[in-house]
Amino acid sequence: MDPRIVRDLTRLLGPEAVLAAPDECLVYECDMLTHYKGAPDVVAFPTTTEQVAAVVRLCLAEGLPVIPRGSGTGLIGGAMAPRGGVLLALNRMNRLLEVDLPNRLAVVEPGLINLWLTRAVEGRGYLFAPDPSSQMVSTIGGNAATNAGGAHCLKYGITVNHVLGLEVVTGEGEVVWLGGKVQERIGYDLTGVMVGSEGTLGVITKLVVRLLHAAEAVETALATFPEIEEAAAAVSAIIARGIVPAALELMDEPILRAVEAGIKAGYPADAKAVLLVELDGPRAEVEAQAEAVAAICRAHGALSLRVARDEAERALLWKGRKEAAGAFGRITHNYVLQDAVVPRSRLAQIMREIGAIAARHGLLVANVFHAGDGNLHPLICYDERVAGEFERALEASEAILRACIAMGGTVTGEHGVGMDKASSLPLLFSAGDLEAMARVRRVFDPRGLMNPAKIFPAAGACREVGQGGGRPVPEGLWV
Amino acid sequence: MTALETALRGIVGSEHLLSEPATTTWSVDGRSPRWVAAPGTEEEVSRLLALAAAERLAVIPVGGRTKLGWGNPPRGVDLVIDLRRLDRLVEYEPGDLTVTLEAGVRLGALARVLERHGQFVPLDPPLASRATVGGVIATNASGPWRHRYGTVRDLLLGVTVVGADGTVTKGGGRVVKNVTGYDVPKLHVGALGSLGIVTAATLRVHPRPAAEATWVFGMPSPEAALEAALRLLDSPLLLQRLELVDGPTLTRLGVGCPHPAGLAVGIGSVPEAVRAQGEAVHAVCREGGGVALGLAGTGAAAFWAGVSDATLPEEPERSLTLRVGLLGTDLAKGFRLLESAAHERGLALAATATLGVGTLRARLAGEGLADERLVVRLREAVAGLGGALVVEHAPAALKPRLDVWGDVGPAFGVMRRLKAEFDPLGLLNPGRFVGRL
Repeated sequence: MDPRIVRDLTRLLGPEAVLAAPDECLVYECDMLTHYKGAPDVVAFPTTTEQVAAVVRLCLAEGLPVIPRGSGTGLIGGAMAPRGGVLLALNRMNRLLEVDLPNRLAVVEPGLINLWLTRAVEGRGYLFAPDPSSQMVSTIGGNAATNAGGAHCLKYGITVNHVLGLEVVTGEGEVVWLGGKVQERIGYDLTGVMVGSEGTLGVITKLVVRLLHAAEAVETALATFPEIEEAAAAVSAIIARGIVPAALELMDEPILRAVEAGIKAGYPADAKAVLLVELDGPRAEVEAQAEAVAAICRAHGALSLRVARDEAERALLWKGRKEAAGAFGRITHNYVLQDAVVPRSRLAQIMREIGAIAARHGLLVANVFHAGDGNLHPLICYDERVAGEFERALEASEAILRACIAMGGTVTGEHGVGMDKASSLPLLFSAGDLEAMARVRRVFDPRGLMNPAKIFPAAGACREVGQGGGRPVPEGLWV
Repeated sequence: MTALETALRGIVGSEHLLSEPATTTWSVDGRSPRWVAAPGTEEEVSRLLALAAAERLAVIPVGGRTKLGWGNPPRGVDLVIDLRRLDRLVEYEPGDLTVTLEAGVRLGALARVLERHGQFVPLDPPLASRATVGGVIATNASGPWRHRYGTVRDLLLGVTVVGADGTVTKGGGRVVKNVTGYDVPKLHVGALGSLGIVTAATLRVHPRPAAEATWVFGMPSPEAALEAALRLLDSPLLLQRLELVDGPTLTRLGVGCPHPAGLAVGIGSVPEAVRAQGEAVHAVCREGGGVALGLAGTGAAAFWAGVSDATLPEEPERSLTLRVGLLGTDLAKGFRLLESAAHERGLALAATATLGVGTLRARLAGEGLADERLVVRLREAVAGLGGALVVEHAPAALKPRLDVWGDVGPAFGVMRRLKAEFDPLGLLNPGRFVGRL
């Protein structure tokens, strides 16, 4: 890195806001999918929109990549710098700028931790609905950049449904507001396109987000099943009955064992599958739906059904779910994580298919996922010390992805594309479809300097189709 | 017959092509198209657009023609593409809560299919039964259901689009959760067909609540109605619809309303929850000075359709219809602005507002609407509240003197580049979208 550029950045941001020593930059070389590595040349910590714009303009002038980053909890090889450049760590832009409860909105900076927003308004009965499992550490800017999901998006929608407006610095160095506090929009829905663009169109510097009033009643219940297919069929039946729970989460036996061994959530040890159902809404509605859900579970052979009696028990049931993937690290050496989706009526079928793929590859595949959305997170276990197992795990991961797509599903449900799934996009999209996305890219970022090497398959990378998607992940992540 | 017309006939078949003078009933802002083509397949749409690009024809896609007055007057009107023959249901699996259908399917027809399975697509724009799926996507038109369910933006999972050069592409997918690349479907929502023609879409569907109820309250003032609405919103009540309707309009809808404003509330849930929440709604509205009014014998469905249609330009040359976006808390102020403008000019006002969203719809009817200063002054006042005003319909004498959209601000630079990327020749609805793109 040219020392002149470091000097310029230091002049723009101050000495406390620039890291340029290689060992310091190394901290930022990956997100939570550590397979992909690429340290930035410089890490900058802006505190204002003007500083972000100044850094972006400097990078444009110098031809340097710009990589926005929040807490780095992504699982896709996203907030990292395979081509070097300047990483914008937005963590110091973490203010809650405004809360307007009568209009049920908040204005925040991108580095604000997701859960902090809910903590700030829950005393007055409100919440920020997107709740990725990482919400205690991930930032709202990162949630918007990746269009994060979460357990409760089954009922409340994903992040894009909760973003009303964005202030962004585009890849042209412009500062523009897309959308805003007033919901009625004029012109193209650029907010909707910016959300989920993974930093490849620009840097989000402020967000107007929707707040929801908390429900009158919440009921969290846990049903155990003798077979994963039965539990999956129960999920499909609940949805088909017209009940849309706030969350509908499924975990299979290997996951249950890991959770019990790890954090002792109180899951019964004899069950082969656990279904976590959360209903919320008006009390009378929750009560009526809870009865219907219980009847559906019994009809599908549920072994037991337990309703959380208080907030502490509810929190414990959820803790097991939210930290399941992390806890799973205890019982396998390594695993590959998938994030695929099937139509909800196909859940039992895909569970059988995943079981068959696991058997065919001689590997253990565990499942913990957002069943109500059909959003799967199979964890494909292997031992890196055994020759050939990693390769087999990748093959199994790929086979699962293809099975999902064959059922009408998609490549990534909530984690995003990043580097990890770029080569899988052609499984779903034609060259023409991808060209439409590339046009959007050119509109915002004609130089291709905003978070380069993400989302779009590299030129000539089509031959890699068949290997992309799903790399080993470390312990302690959230899915 | 010209070679071009022969080519058009070759694509859609002679029985599906109109040429002048038979096209006069298809005029857009008073201009008759040279041809109206009604393609029956996505491939025919693709061939039409490829031909239009080669021949530099200005293209106007249409569906149910319920919102054809939206947008600025087009720069050219060569070829109207009538998409109503694309009316197939492609895939509907009730257990998935999704439906894939062609763009020409009418919302009314879709509703009849879904209701057999206890489901619905919660879209209730004006003239909802005639409006097509493609038209609702292109306009992002909404109605009272927006309070609970959002607009088509929140329901659209995937699209098939024919681009300006005839290329067919897909965006999004058929499942409810999908972050595979950019959310291309969003580009086409509310874009008035200016970036491509949507020929098919996958929508999220919702289960229809087991029980629904509607209550209407006469309120002493729009301020009191807003106050009561804000109290309802600041509670765990789960409302399906929450509309402010002016008193005379309520009376016209068959709900005798001697009050200046009314509050219409809809709730859908299980019967017990509808009952319990209904009591809470009554309590809040009574405390706000409201009086419960009887719904007309025609029932709730007809009432709500009437609310959706309440501000349509019934007499086009004597009507100006507006959509005003504001913060929800400013809606009473917005209502008063319209009221005093109407009073000053001796116009009749009909207004409805989706209170939880901040959308105010109004019709000003009477003589003397040719003067653009009315719109200019209202727009300035609305901008002063941080809002925006869109003219949805204006008399022919007034329309060319307005920009119906108003200024979109600094993001316009990005929008102009987007249009240039997707429609470099400027042939799709030329001049009709924001900034006369």
